[in-house]
Amino acid sequence: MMKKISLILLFVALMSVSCKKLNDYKTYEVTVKVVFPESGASAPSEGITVNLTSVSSGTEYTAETDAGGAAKFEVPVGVFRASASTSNLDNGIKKLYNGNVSNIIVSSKEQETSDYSIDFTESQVSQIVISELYIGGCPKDNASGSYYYDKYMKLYNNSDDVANLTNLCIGMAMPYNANSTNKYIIDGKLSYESEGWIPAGQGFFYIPSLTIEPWKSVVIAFNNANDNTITYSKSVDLSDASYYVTYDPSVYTNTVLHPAPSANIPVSHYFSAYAYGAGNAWPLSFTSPALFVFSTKNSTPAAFAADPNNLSYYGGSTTQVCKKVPVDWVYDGVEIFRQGYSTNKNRLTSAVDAGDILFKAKLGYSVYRNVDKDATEAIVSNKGKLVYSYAYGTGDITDGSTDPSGIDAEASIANGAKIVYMDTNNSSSDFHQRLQASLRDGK
Amino acid sequence: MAVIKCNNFELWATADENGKFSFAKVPAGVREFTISSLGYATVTVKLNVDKDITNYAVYMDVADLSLKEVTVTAEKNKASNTTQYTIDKAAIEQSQLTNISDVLTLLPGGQSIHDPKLTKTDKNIGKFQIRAASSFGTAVEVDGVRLSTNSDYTEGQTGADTRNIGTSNVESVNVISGVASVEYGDLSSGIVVINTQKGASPLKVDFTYNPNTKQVSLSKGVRVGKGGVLNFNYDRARSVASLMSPYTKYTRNALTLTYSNTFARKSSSPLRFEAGIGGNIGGRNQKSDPDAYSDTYSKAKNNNIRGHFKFNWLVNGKFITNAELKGSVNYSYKRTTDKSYKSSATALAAVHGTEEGYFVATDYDTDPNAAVSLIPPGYWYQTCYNDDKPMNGSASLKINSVKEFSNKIRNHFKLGVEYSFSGNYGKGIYYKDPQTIPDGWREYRYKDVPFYHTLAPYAEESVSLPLGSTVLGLTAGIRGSYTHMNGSEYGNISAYSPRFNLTYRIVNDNNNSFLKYLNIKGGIGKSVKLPSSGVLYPRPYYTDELTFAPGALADGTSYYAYYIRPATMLYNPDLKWQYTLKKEIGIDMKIKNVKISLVYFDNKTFNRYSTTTGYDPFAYNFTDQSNLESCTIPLENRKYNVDRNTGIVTVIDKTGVQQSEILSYTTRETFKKNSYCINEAPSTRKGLEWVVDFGKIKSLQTSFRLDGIYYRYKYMDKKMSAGMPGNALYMADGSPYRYVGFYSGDRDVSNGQLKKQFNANATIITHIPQLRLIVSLRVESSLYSATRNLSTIGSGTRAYVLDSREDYLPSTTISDLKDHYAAVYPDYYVSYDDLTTKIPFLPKLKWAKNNDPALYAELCKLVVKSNTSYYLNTNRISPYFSANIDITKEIGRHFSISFYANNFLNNMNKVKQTWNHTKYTLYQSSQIPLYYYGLTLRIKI
Repeated sequence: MMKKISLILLFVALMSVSCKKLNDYKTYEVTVKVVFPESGASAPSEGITVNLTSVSSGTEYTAETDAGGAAKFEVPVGVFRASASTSNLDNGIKKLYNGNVSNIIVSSKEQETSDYSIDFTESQVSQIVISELYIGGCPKDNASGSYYYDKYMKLYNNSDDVANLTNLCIGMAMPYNANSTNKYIIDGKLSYESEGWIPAGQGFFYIPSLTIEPWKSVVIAFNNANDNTITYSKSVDLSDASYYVTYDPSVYTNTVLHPAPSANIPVSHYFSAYAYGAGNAWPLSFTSPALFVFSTKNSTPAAFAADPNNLSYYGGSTTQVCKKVPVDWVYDGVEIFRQGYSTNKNRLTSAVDAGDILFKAKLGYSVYRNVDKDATEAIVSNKGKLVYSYAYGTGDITDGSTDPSGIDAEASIANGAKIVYMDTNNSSSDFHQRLQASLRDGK
Repeated sequence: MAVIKCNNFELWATADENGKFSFAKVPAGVREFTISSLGYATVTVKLNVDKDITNYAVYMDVADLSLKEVTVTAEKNKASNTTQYTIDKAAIEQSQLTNISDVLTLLPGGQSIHDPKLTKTDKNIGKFQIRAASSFGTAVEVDGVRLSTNSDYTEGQTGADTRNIGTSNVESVNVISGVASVEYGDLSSGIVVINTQKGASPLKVDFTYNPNTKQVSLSKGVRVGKGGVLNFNYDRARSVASLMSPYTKYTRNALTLTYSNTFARKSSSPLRFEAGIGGNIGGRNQKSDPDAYSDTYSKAKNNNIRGHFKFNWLVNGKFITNAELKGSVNYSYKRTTDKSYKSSATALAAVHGTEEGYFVATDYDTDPNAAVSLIPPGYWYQTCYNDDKPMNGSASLKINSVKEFSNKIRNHFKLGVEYSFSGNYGKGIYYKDPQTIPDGWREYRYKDVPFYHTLAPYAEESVSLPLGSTVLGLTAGIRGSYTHMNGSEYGNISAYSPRFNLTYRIVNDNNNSFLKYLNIKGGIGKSVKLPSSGVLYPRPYYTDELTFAPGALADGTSYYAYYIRPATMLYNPDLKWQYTLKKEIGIDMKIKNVKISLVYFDNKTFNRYSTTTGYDPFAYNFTDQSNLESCTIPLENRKYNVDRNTGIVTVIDKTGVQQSEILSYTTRETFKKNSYCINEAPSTRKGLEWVVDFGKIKSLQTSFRLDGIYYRYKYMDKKMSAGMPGNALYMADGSPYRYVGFYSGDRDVSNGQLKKQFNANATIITHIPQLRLIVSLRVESSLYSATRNLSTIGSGTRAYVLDSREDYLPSTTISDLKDHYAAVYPDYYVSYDDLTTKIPFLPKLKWAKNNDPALYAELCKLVVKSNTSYYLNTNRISPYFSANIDITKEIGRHFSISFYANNFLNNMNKVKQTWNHTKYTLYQSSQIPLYYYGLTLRIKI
């Protein structure tokens, strides 16, 4: 009997000792504050998740910032590292804020400070990219020449978020053709590179708002938004009701270059125009344009067009007039060079496009963006949906090129895949010359 | 058959087949006679006619290189009382011209033409331009047949195209650049008189070869019947534009037949008769080029037929010395055919209506005569014709009365009247297939334009007064011209051209060892140039404004509607006739062996024709697809009706099921343009022409000649003209632009030009009669060439200096226009809302910059800026040279061979231009002739 009671007493004594030990360590308060760059924050300071990681134990603590951007932690002694990131999606541009701070020391001694700050650095990625530019025209039937009024562009949402674009504009740089003498080049450099703008020649098109779903594209026709294949069998059908068209007959009255679009296309899909150069049509080159897509940001297309101080007279001409588009307004641009000419020169500055893609007109070719193989294969849902053995490259033709990823983007998209296109702001690595316009695939 | 003229007395005689000639009445005294015969050197003799002379014999030498004196340059006509140059056969053969208008390069300071190919389509190819003035003001006559372009639609406002005249048939060319006799009218710079060969001659065959042109010609003069001669000439030339692709060629097949005879030769009143007929079949042809799409081509026929007759009656009466009656007709058939292959994916709107109003497009099958037609999509051939058949003719009667009085004063009275007409029988531009006629074409038949008739009487009095050993000659004449064109708002036009000439022959003595002759000539005269028929009977033009653009059907058809606005150049009741006042003074002298000729000329053209634009407010109603979005009628059942007066669109259901719907619209307020012909401020052309001929250095058999011209040409436009921005015709909100600016001069940075040119040529001619060889080396140079665009208006400022290209307001610190951008502002502007209030522009622009940015942005569009910082700088081109060589050698009695090389040193030097401080190479530049050469072989049988 006595033996049993002593065992129970020993057990209880043991238990009470262990319990006492669990409630014995001390925690200290650490405040980590996020600091946005001087240029301002376009993301709220509140609600940002801050991660505090112990260097020694690897334990992670998380807290959210309050309205002042400060996240409070209660942590034991140790050395920690903090990091935070947030992003803001506005009008097609995703601003990414990243930052970290290390050597956060928490000890039992009195600290000088328990407030630490993470300095965010800002970077931006455009949600939308030009995934295809078909401007070279195609051969007419019976070899009587070439037809160039079937030009179109595909604008693609290269992200997982819906792209809500406001004041979307389309412009082209001067000179129209890459091989022409470039009057902006002074002493071997583009005169506007150091001033941070690119020229939009003769006029630009704009639409107040445009929505593109994630991983989807919209087609924008430049000239004849009708079924061109009725007369020119090698051309494309641009009469679909979901397509857009650059059409403003009150400004550009040339009914040959800008004929009335198909009645299927609603008026809400028309891009309107502001013209400031000479001519009754928008003269997009069919051999080698430098096309770009931008937004007037905190201004409006009307105010931008009305401002006489942003005019640039190309080579001093009063008929070839450009508007100065600030580089940070630009979503994306493509620099197309003309095959067979040694005098091609860049018109888009390296901030927009540091390279070029060689193109041959009149054969039905188009310029198509390369697939980012790693990023696309990394998307889990793409497994089994990607189509390889890409057959539309022109790599085996003189001066041609093909998609190094080998992925047939259009066929994969038709399969339900989410394609991530390459976007390094360099047409030399981002684009290839495609054997036919993608709208002709499967026809 | 020789022609003998008694100079200064309008007496002539012709020799019969035995060479016998006679003059029935020659006034007593020392008289000069000129004897000329085709193929022989002209002889001038002085005879003392104090009694009847019989058995006087003149020996004539064959005109070939074995003569002691051969002239291969343009010779100043000493006997003429005005500035006149003669270029004779030897000079024409030596320069081996394939195109007769190139002969002007032999005039003082003349520069060889850049490209002798006949296929060039330049506006001035084949045209005469005296002293670099416009070719429209230079008259051309071939054997008395005036080549007029007043009713020519293909030529436009330029002179006659001489490419269809056979060069081998030309005997001599007289260029009158001074104050011409009142016998010649409808000209401003001068007249070129081309004389073809007349007289018996052996058969001549010429072959000319140069890299792009091959020419062959045959000519012969045969004696016909008793005393008659028939001259025949056939000239065929074929010029190819490019040797690599010989598909564009110009062909000439010119045939001329001239018959001449003298009746009652031995009587005291012989009658000389001449009649000729000539023509050309040829033109420019771009035959099916294998590089062009199958069965597409461009052809331009240039066929021509002309005929003339002339009676010259040596009356020898008491009051009339001789009388001349002549007539001519010139008819051209110029038809251009252009066949091309077209295609379209959409139905193309083709506006052809000629009445004012709103019209909707209609399918061709529904209404072939619709104002707006639709060319269906697909492929088709388009054949376009331009049927231009100008015709002009004239008839004139001239009477000369020469009398010498006992005190040796000679009086020559000339009285004449000339009637001329011109018109066109062409159908104008038309198309083979009415369904595919392109947008903008309206029928305009040249034959519907009335004929142009002019009656010009003239009278001229010349007096020759001996003053001691000198002779003073005075000529005064007046020519009136009365022009009538049926239906022209300008009615009957009358103009007077008085002309005066003075010649003072101070020394005229061949025996004097030092000064052989010294003449001073001067003249002042007015010559009126009649406006072209485009001014007197303006052609309607049309403005088509797009007013309705519905969405397209599945096949690409869209029923566009347009507002058609016809207009013609407005009648200007204050329009005056353009005329040139010519003043000349010159001196001719021969000191020892050196001939010197200097002419100072001052030509001022008054009432220059120009067109200006006026703007009137104009509003139209615009409907587009956004107004159609609410329409409930299905697309395939829609038919559009557009009200002709309001432009309001009604959509009708073709099936009749639904009610018609009237669409809403927006009204756009803009301006419509009107143009009218005005007179601008005068232009002046002054200069100095000189020829110094050093004569032949006998030991070297070489002569040396210097000639040149310096001229200064200036014009300024002063009229106030309305203007709107050239582009950006929209306000900031996209509505049409609402302001019109009024500019002094024109809506241009410059309103005038000053040009100074100094050309000097040196010719070295080596003529060895024993070898029958002549070599001429000509160095042409431009020693000073300066052009300057001017921008001035009275005493005020017209062009303002800008600090930089981007500025709109004048610089406050810089005042020198040199090397700076310049801006021209309107004097004042008006707005669509208030057209009567004239708002001074520059003060308002300055105010708006700080107070009304929106207005400032709009007014900036009216500012005209120079394209470059050097636009108003003087452009001086550094001197440059080029050298030509011509060689002719006769072999035996039957052959002669010529060789020429233009720019044979192939000058590739660089010249500097001060305009923008750059250099450019002369190689292939238009300033010197292309490096070119050719060979001609002549056979005389």
